[in-house]
Amino acid sequence: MNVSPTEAEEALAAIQTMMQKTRRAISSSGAYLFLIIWGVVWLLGFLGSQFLPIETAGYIWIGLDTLGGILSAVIGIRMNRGVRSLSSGTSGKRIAIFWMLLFLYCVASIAVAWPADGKQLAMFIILFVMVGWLAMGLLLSFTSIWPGVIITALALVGYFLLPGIFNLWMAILGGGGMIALGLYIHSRW
Amino acid sequence: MAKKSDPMNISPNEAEEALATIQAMRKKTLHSYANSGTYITLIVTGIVWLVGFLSTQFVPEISGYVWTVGSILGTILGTVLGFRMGKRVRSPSTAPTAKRIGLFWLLLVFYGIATIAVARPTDGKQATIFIVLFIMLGQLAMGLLFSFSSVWWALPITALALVGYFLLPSIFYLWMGVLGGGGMIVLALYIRSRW
Repeated sequence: MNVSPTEAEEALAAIQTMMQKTRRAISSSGAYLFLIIWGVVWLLGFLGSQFLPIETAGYIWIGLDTLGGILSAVIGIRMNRGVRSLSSGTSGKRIAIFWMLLFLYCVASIAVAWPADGKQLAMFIILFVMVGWLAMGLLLSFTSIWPGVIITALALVGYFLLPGIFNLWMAILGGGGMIALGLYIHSRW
Repeated sequence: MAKKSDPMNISPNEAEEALATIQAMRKKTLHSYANSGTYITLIVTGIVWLVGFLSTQFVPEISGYVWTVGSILGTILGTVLGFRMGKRVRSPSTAPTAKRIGLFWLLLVFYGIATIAVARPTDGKQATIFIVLFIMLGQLAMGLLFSFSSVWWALPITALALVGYFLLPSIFYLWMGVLGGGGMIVLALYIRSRW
């Protein structure tokens, strides 16, 4: 046992300070834009799923996801220019690998549950995205976990209690909620 | 309400120093894990899986009791070990970290239950593989906080579980007992000897 209580205390205090600074840095660096981008993607995508034919909605989702991915990559590259070092590169790589693996776990879960209908697929994706959100929240602060938990709860309520308007529900509360959270982080953190 | 401070107030040097501190702590934590007895938790879980899955495969009529008793014993042992290890490093700063990790696992349980509920109707094997997927996902998230090496063991176990589920459904539980449970025991011995 070669970590003394004092050493642990100092290291954890350093981590605590970095968490606070990271929150401010996230707010200032434009990371909230990810939330707004994906909030808009969800808003439009789920509205498409609610009101348009399945095939058309599918194409809209593909287009929106592609656009969201490109925009996120551009913003990510721009943000990465702010702080660049060997250590930060390693942390970024670790987070990227986690999200990639999360995607694979989501695909595996859908494969296990197959055949799944459109709403089930949407719920699986929502649940895994929110698990990713939880894991990221764990690295930053308690408060950043709760919006993810609330969105999950709303999604489950919509899925089980309001199946007829599930997509509309997710568009407004899920997509709209993410946009609102992005604006909140930008203005309050 | 927190007042918004200067934009981007982490200098590259500050970030580098803080990350180096965290990096050093990760290495020390790995050594601490190997020396503190955390590996015993893996062995206990491995044995519970080994015995539980073997009973599900060969004596399904009593497997419910085996899992219940095994899980209770495993939880008691894990809690006792957790308390013993918790006494070694105790400070105001460790409590929030432990609380955060505990909350994460608690929420992950709810997400696992939600996933099974969404996938319903599910059979025993589907429910099992969902539970395995979520446990391994939790390990991956924990690996993010500690080091790369603690992540990778979850991947082969996940891959083996999926291979067993899709390709060997008739011996899935036997497969999970021997390779999942046995794999954890081997990993624990590896951690003890190499970290």
